Amino acid sequence: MNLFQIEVYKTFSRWRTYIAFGFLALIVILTEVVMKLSAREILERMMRSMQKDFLIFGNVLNGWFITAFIMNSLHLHIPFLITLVAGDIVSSEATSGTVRLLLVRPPSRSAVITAKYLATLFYTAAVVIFLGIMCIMLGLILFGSGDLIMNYATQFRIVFIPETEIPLRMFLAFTAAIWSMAVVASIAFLFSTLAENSIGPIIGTMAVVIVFFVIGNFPFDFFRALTPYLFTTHMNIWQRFLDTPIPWRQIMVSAAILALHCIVLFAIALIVYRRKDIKS
Amino acid sequence: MKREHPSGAGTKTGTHRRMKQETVLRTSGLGKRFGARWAARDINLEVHRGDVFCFLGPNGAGKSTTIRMILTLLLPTTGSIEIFGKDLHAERSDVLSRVCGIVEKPDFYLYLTAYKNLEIFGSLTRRISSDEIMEALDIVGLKSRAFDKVKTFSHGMKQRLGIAQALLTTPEMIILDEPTAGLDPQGMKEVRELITMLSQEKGMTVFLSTHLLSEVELVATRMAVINHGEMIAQGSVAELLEQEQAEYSLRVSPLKTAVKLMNGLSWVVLRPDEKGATRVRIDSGRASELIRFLVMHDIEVFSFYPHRTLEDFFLKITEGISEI
Amino acid sequence: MRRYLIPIIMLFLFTAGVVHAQENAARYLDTYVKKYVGLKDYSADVLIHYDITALKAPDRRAKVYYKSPDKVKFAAKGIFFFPKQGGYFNPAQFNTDNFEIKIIDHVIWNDRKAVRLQLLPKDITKSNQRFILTIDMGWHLIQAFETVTSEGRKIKAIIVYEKFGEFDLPTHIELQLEDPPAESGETKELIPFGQHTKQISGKVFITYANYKVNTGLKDEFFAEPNPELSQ
Repeated sequence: MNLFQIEVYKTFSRWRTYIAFGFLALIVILTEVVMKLSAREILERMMRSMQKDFLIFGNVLNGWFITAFIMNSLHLHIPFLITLVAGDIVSSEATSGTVRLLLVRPPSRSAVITAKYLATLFYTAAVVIFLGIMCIMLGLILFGSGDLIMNYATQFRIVFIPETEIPLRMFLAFTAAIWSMAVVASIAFLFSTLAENSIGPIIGTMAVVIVFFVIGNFPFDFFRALTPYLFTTHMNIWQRFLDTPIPWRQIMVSAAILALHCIVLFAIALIVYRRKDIKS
Repeated sequence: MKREHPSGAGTKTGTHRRMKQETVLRTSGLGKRFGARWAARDINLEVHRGDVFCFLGPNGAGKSTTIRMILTLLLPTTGSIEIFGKDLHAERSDVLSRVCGIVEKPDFYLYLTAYKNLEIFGSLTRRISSDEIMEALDIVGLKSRAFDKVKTFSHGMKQRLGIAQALLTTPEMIILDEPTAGLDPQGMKEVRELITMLSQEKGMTVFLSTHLLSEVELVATRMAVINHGEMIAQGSVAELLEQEQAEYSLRVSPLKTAVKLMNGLSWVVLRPDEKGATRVRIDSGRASELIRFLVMHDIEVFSFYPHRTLEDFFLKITEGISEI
Repeated sequence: MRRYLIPIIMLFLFTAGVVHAQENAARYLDTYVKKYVGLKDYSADVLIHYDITALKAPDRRAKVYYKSPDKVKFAAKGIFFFPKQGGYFNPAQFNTDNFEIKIIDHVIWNDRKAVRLQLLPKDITKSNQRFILTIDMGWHLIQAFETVTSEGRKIKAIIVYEKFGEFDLPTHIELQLEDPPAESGETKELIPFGQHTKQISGKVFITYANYKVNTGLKDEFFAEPNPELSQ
């Protein structure tokens, strides 16, 4: 087993890793069942303005729509689930004492920390992909397929995506969602390298995410100037792939800012960990 | 005052043997500072191949700090470390692939089985086969528990598992920090036997730190003493003990006359022991001279035996009472 | 008696004038409606192009089925938005018996004489809506119509016809939608689905082709409701 395989094995050998998956499964099942029962009410609320001028035919409330709807709340629950593992992956070695056996081995600290980081990203991707698979599979079974109507609540706009385009766009959307959640994972990971227990990194990461969200919504010029550079501003990058036309330039800018966050956060974690005295 | 056995002293055979012995671990001016406090300073260790080298010191002396620096858990503030003739930090991967270290108690992933833990830690050094893992577990008596989760293990079993993971990669040197800490006497005995086996049967160099003198007496071939972060003695156990003045208990008659006579000798220090017997401290090698002196002065000498123990040596040098 | 005679005569003449004007306005509409008395049903392929800020949708294809006087059905693959007003051709919609009709003025439309009529529904439940029709006086075709609701929502349609057999049927309908600004009294719900009720303005271009007229569509065919959300 190489370092990365070891870290992934360790991560998925712990029951707490599966809290995230269980929680997501529960959310998806509950949401989709409720939506199935309240379908007409939901549709009428959603299409109220359009219905004044248009007759609307077809399966609007389909599996793709449900998936997009659940993804709208991605930034609320996924960060917390990711920090459960990312905030623990380094600090748990100190807590359990295994760091003393791990770091006296031939692999350098850089190799160890890099493997852990990659395992964190792997877990992040697994969580988001699991969410996607659950949403899509259950959604298609309960609601069938069809074209996707994307409702942008913040700007009154409905985007209509033909069914044939949806699979590729959804794939890109989920990839973008993974990309944005990777920043949250990186923050938690950095905190994990600094701490000797897991609670601090988890709470710290959630605090950062919440504070950045709040800052990004302050209606003051100073904060508005910061907003484009906050990672929380770009956490909805996935929505861009469900827009017409796809704003590639915006996506590239967002992706670059998110990638920069990840790189800087990992670099700091790497530097810190290489120089850290292991006293525990 | 530091004591080192001079490399040229001792028997010819011993000198020849020492000159032929490879130095597997050498630290030069090794030190670690935490803030304004030096936890270890100017540590110059020399461990030869095949040694069971005990690093002795009271609690908080700097033993763990030194070992952690050797095992790269701490970054030294000063000095260098050479293992197998290679600079540790420049050739870390190569060096550590030939070394195994256990700092304090060995901790494992409690949620994994013993087998899996060994597989993980072993594979960090080289490819390990299933047979090797089972063999290592067999040696430490844990083969039947190979697929039990480590969280079900007792402290002693975890200690043995630690030894198993040390054996697994067949290192040339094994570094242990307080290996018997927290063990019952039976556990301690097992660990000592394992250490002896590693040295004598496997040919491993063993470097261990301890504050238990009995361990040193029972297993060590060479030792170093550290106190308040500074090394104060290093050499083979026998040679270090010989250097010191020895204490002897004697039964003589008439006692008063003998005491009066011995008080007149500048090279004799009388020390009554707690049992009321007469004890003298004299330079090693002058015991026969003292006996001759007493006999010549018509003092009957009924018994004359040495208290040249490690404990005495240790307490002396750590309390700074040595007269050499 | 002689004193009241002149006012009575004037009142009679005025009423007669009004009745006559009403009858004239109705005549234009009647002529239009009677052109399509023989049109029992039709079906056609529909292509819709949306040019609406609030709706980003690709062109959609469907098939429309109509049976006189008021049955209509759409068949489309996938989701399909179709304008409620003015999107499909229903000549029986403007039955003169159902409206108060008034001539607004006479205009020139595409270099032809046309008359503009205002229609107010007699049915009190539909009285929130009024129609303005531009009827070509020679061809007796509705070239344009405009509908305004009491909430201020306007829909304007321009219709282009082609001859299919004996009937002039629309081939292009250009709809312009104008919603009033958002009503201040409306509440905005803070739910993910909740839509802020705002303007839907823009154009919809509808193209009809492959008409099949009077094929004998049965009532049962229209019995199955369109899969629409609301009427």
